[in-house]
This record gives sequence, C-alpha cells and structure tokens, in this order.
Amino acid sequence: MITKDQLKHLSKLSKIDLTENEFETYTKQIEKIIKYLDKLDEISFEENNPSLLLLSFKKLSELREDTIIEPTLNIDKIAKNLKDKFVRGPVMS
Amino acid sequence: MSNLYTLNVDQVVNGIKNGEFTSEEYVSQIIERIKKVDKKINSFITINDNALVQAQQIDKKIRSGITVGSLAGIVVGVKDNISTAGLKTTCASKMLSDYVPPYDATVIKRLKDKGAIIIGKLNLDEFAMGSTTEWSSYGLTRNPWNLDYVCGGSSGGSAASIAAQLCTASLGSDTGGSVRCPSSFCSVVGFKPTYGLVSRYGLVSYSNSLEQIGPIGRTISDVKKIMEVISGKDTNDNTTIDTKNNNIFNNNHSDLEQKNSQKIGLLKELINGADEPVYQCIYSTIDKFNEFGFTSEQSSLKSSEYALASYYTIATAEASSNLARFDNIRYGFELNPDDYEWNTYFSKARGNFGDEVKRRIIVGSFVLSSGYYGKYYLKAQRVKDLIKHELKNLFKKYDLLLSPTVPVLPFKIGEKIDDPLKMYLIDINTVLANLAGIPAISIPIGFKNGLPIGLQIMADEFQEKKLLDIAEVLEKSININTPYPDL
Repeated sequence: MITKDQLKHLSKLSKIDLTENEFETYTKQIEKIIKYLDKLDEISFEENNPSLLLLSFKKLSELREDTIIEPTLNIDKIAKNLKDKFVRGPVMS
Repeated sequence: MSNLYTLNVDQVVNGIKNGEFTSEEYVSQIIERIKKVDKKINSFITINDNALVQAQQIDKKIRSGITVGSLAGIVVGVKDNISTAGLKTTCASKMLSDYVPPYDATVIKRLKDKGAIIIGKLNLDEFAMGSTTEWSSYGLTRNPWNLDYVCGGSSGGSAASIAAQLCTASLGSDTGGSVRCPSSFCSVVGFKPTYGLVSRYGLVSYSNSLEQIGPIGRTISDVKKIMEVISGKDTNDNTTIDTKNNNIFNNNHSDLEQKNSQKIGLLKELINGADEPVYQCIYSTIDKFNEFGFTSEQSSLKSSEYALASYYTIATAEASSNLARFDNIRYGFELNPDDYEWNTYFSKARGNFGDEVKRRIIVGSFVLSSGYYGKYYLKAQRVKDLIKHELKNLFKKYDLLLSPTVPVLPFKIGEKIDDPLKMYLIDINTVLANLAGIPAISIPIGFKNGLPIGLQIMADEFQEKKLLDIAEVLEKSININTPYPDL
C-alpha cells in the first residue's frame, strides 16, 4: 500500500516535482505496480536453491586503464548557460 | 533506378560496388522516401544532413579504386539513445532536447568504419521506458501496417522505419524486449544478442545489467551482417567479450546438417498465455519446423511466472540511479537557473521528465528504500539467478526455446496508456532473455486482420550462430504474402 504521503517522500528523494494531479494519479498507479511486484513474495527459495552464481569476476589487472579523451567538439557548442567557460547553475544552499 | 529503398544489405553493398547504382542515388531515394512517408508514421527525430556528402565520398572512393568497407553505402537508422558525434541524441526527452554528443558510441564507430551511413536518429519511448513508443516527447510513432495502431517499443522508430523502408537496417536497444516487441508488431526481424557480445559504450544507460544494443532488419541475413560488425571486445565496456575465435556469425550451416538432432522446446507457460490468433499462428509455425525435420516438444519454465516482477524491480531500481544525473544544467530545455536554490531547480527541472519515466524513477526509489530493499530488490536478483539456472538446465535438453514474442496482437493507440501495469504485461515473454543474458530473436510469422505476429526464438548464451542459422531456415519456409505496408 502506497499512501500519498509516502509518494511525496519518494518524489522528494527522487528530486522530481509532481503536481497535485500527478500525486492523485500516480498514487493509484504505483500502488497497483507495487502490488504486482509483491508476487516476488510468493516464491520460496528454500526449495529453489540454484548453484549461485554464474557470474564471473574480473581481476584488477584485466580492467581498462583510464585515459583522458579530449572532446572533439567545443563545450560552447554542446552546453548551454555558459559564462567565461563555466556552466552557470543555481545557488547551492 | 527505381525503388532502391526496397533492397536488403547485400543488394545495396553489391549494387554500389558493382556500379549498378551509386551510393548518392541510393541515399537520395531514401531521403526522398523519408520526406514522403515519415510524416505518416513519425519514426525519425533527426535526419543527418551530411548523409548525402558521405554517400558522395563512398562513390569517390569506389571510382578511385580504393577498397571500401563491408557495409559501404548501406543506410542505418539509429535509436536516439545511442550517442552519435555531432548529431543530436535526445532520448526522446525534453531533458536532452539539445544534447549533441562529442563522441560516437562504439557500435556507431564500427559501422562508420565499414562504410555504413548514419541516416538519422529514430524515435523511442523516453529513455527507452515503454512498450509502444507512445511515451516520446517528440510524438508517438505509428504502426506502418495500420496507422491507428501502436508500433511497439521502446525501439518503435527503429522497427517502423524498417517496415516502411526508410533505411537498410537500424539499431535499437533491448532492456526487456525493446528490440523484439516493436519488431514483432511491425513484421521485421529484431535481434537481442547475448549480454556482453555488443558494446554498450555510448548507449545512454537505463538499466545496465539488462540492456544490449541490437540490430533490426528486413531479413535475418541483414541482422547477421550488422552483428558481424558491431559485436566483439571493447575496452570501453568491460562487460564485453572477445569473439574473434568463436565464428559466431559465419555462413557455414554445418550444424544444421543433422536437423533431426536439433531439439526445440516449446515454452508452454508463454505459449498458452497468448491470445487465440497468436497461439494459432505459433502452432502453425511449429508445424513448419517439424516438417523441416526438427524435433519439438512441450517444455516448462516454472520461474517464468516471477520474471516480470523481477524485471521491473531491477530495471526501475537501476533507472532511478542512472537517471539521477539529469539536471538540465548543461543540456535540455530552457529554464534559467538564476534565483533558484540547487535542490529546488533540480526538482523543478526533473518534473519535466515524462509520466512513465517519473513513475519508474519513483518505483525504483521505493524498491531500493530502507525497509523494502530486501523484500523487493534482493529477491528480484535471486529470481533472476533462478531463471538463469532453470534456463541453463533447459538448454542442456533443447537447442532452442520457442514462444510468441508478444502474447497479444498490436493494439490501438491510447488503448493501454492509462494503465501502466497492462502496458508492462506486454513484456512478459521478452524479459526472460534479458534477465538470463541470453540471445533472442523475433521473426515475422504471419498476420491476423492485417496485424503482424512475431515468433521469439531463444538460445543459450553465445549460441547466436545456431539461433540465427535455424531462424534463417524457418524464415525461408515462411512466405508472408504482404511483405511491405502500403504507405
């Protein structure tokens, strides 16, 4: 069960402003989605214990060495809100 | 020459190399057709203005006797979540509306190196989240077979543009069926490779542990040709593997000589859950398989019941993390940052994501939040392992597994848009391959009331050769009477 207050908290965590209308609609829709995800509770892992895991792990020596690639396009062509080669942003409180 | 846009990959490459027509003539016809036809289906977001110049360069090389690449002159459309240097990559979102990447994705670089021409960027559900391409901020893409119907998604533009003959081949990305679903709905071939076979460097991330870039074409041969070029190790994506010695895509069909030794499993949970017309069509295709000497029998994948819940838990969790980077500061729509506090600006700007993206980010935040992480995310990961384990066991018994790609026929635009869960259920058959990391293909097998039906074929990881070879046998045996939509 998802309440409107929980949704407000989640939207704050996700940093997404929602309108009142969206809160109304999303609460119902997300509740239905979460209820479907609750299907995961039906499965018992005691009888289903596959030989986990099939994942492989890389050694540190196998990892790529990072190199700096200078962009071929000028920043002023791809970014907006530029001032003196810096990108302008809102105030940090 | 007339109707060059109907040609497949081999016909285009050979036609240009042999001087039957020029690359410029081919690209001119394609551009003309896009102008004429795309206003009906809206599959393109951006057209590459340099395509004609690139075609002229290929012609010049051929005239000068310089060797050209194996894909020289073919025209490739690219889903708009794959980075293309100097060409806008919007992800069909306001948040990246004016973003021009400074680099090419590895797949794009490899295609260009072989002489392919990127004709433009194709429509999708915003950030690849959706199953109908109705969630694009550039307007929906229509199904070329019936303009009142959805074309599938999220790579809807990539599939619709192939069906409408607006490019030779296209690229999509497949996180839970996003290449295969629209391919099924548009009656084209769409392939999702084994996880790690194709580099994701330059693909705008939605759910890294599940997604792969995959080709869409009119034939399996077209898809193979693209795969030969884009697959293989890439040091910029550490999940990729070296395929040099595997001969994954060679044309030797020796494996098929003993057809009756090839066993095919029919996934009963997926087939029985399909709507009647889809079910009927699947069984008449299976009859054709049997006529060709393959052996098929019913098989079961018990954990498939939990696949969709596992998929949407993992995908939304990864989406909530991946999309945290979009702040509208450097790229995006106009919203002056002056007089805003950081968090206020960030939240206001991100309120401009579309409905489906906002919903998935919020669901992702929920399943990862304190108190719910173990109940949802960890359990979903265990289900993912269980599915992989069960499929591994099935592939000890069967060479391939069959099911409908999508359990329903294409439906009318707007029919499911207000019910996200109904929309998610479209992916119920396709998510398995993403959870298990195995290859899967959708091929056209028929029509009902003028609407396409697709068959999904899955194989064990890195068994693409077997999968594509057998699919090719089937493709040749199926004669779909209406090969192209009337546009």
